[in-house]
Amino acid sequence: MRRLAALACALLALPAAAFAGDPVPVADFFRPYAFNDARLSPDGKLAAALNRRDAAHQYVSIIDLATGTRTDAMVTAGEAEHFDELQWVSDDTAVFTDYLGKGSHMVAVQWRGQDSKPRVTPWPEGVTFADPQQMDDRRMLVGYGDSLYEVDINGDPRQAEREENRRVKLPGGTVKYLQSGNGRYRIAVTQHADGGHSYWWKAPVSDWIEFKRAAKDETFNPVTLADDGRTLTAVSDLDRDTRALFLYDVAGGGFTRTLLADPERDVTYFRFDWSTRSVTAAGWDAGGSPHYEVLDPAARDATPALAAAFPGMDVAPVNLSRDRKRMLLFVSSDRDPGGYYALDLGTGKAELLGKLMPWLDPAQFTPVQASVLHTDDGFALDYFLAVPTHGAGPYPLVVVPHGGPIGVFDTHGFDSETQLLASRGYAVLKVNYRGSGGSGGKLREAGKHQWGRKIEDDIEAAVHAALKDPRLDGERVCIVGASYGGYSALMSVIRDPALFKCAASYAGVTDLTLMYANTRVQFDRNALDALADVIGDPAKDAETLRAVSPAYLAQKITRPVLIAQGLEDTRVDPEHAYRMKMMLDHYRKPYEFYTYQGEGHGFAGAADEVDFYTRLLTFLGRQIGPAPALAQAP
Amino acid sequence: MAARAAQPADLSHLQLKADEGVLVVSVDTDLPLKSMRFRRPDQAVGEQVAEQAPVGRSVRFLVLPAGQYRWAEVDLGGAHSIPLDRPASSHYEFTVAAGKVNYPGDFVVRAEGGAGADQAAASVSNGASLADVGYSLSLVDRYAMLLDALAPAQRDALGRLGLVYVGPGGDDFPFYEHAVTRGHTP
Repeated sequence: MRRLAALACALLALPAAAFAGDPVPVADFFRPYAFNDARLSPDGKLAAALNRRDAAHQYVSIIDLATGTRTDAMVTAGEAEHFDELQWVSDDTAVFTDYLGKGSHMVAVQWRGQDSKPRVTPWPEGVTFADPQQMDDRRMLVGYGDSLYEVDINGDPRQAEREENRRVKLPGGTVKYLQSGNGRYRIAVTQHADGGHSYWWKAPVSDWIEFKRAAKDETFNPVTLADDGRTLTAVSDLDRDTRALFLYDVAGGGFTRTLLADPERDVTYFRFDWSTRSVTAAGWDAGGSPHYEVLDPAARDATPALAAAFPGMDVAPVNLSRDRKRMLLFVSSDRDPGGYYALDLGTGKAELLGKLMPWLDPAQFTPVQASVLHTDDGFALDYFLAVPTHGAGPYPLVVVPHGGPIGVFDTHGFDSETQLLASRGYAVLKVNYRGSGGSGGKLREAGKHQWGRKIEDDIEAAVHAALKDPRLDGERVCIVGASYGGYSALMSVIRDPALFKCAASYAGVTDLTLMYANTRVQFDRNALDALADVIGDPAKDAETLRAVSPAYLAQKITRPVLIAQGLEDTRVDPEHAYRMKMMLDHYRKPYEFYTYQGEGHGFAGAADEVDFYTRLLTFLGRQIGPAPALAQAP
Repeated sequence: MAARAAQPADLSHLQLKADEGVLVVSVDTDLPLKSMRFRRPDQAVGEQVAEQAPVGRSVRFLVLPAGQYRWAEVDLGGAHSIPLDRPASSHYEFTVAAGKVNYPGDFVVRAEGGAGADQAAASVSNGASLADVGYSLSLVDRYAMLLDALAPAQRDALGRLGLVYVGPGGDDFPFYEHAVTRGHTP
């Protein structure tokens, strides 16, 4: 492993942290990734990754690991919202999914050597990747309509619609499919109208047999089916508080072995590898020290050396070659957006293939300190504090509650928003309040029906804990967030204007009962149930919901607020922003109001995102100001 | 009895008969709409029609007899229409209260599938089916956005008549806002 150590030293030899000259431009934090979602080919000779150079062009990059040659093939021209799920289906062909509006296309890219352009084949809308089958037989299984079809990987895309290629009809409402033994045994997962799931098994001579059910609040997520046709690897929280990785016997109807579990943390990360048809690695985010365990026996011995070779970095295994001689790694940190490395498990040599944001220098960024807050009612909450290392303190603090609120969580890892704010002289606080995911069912459930109440109690408690740090200025605190975070920002400035001197909301909910006033929700039983479960019953709890709705509480706002909203948001309709504006106008409260044409619940366009953050920085500068030294900087 | 249109400028001196109410037909669409049709729930014939909604946001006011109604169809012209009575659902039903301005929500129509709204509109006008183009239609409570788009005099007129939300899900905010703007604490 000597060469790994040398590489790590080279990483550490980057310029020392300093804030010399102009800060990183806002736009640089929101440029599309240059190299993302990488996977090693089954034979370990190639690596493929997705990259999106601009809003209108998406590329697949293929690297020949023997020569280091990189070939880029343009795979989509058009404003795809995103594209992901790259998988190799043979030694030379990878597929990925391209999402355009509400539609999606599977696209196949075939490597044809350094001297030829890769062949790009878009498949018809509605065809989805299901299983690569044997990696060396040039066949794969795709879903189309209610059935699975076996098709030639590089053949005519219309073959997915031909009856002679149809292999099996799926149970109605299938949302996930697994198989083993090249299709001898099959597993399907279907979703019920109430949000629960059924699990189905099929052998060659049998019809589909339902072998298990799970209620909507239960997790039972099959990852892979062994060749014996009965042993499932699954992530589940049945009969325990945290989600763990188990072996489950379909025939016997029970768990047979625990592969990975922690009493306080959910297994949130697992890498299923088509090449080996096994879970290569799994793990969880444990506050400031993410924990990954390599489960594949052939690669497990590499784990300690990996951590040693990249000190201070988070090292996540991605996938293995079929012969288990090469492994792809993703290496990142709180200051580094990360990059992909091909690791030779025999020699220990790791080679950088590409970085997500190579234009950013990690040495310019701010370290993030992870801490734990213990609440009076017994919960342990992770919180993350980034305090600038440049300029002169005490620094104003920006509190950034995450969205959700249920099941979502912040991590110690690189975050563009945190680093942008820190680069402008603001300390940044993020907290995994009750309701957050990753730390078991009790914490997750405890956030339900606590909008504007105990969730905001947790956030305030984390702010007070953070303000014990003498580097922070407790008189200059602002709260900023999107979606639930935007709601929380508005509620926090209503609840405690002495603590929060301003608030900014993007796509924030302002009227909880309004969430139900549309046919998008009223026609969707799952959505209705999910809202009632998380927020409350709009009829029975109407008064309670209004009591924690910012649009009904605007009179209490005494601090400046910024409201921003995408006009195509179907999750938090723009009406929420306009209600707030209407009431702020009525009470003649100070506010800024910005809308973004064509934007939804998040930003699809980098220009709009840059505009929002530029306006946010201006707003923050006016309300709580940058640190004095930065204010004097050019 | 057919609905009659009321111009926004007429709202401030609108005279309603004892059994009449005002219906707000507010539309935000990517595709030009020829008409929105609605009828009494228990009648298969006798449809009422709100004519023409261009691409973008538009609002019109119809004066009609008070009572129960349901949306029946959004017509894009030619052979293209979006039926709203299959499956039968109370979410497309609304009540027009006498002497009130009744707002059943905004029709939000969007071309889907990534082709872009302009291309989708052109495709439909050239004979492509709605299924080919892909679209979404929803009825959404946009009370504040409706008032924001109106001139102050029109807002005042609506306030004087009393604007109530009669769309899916129910909504107390118009009552609250109405009371607050008149100096009452609800």
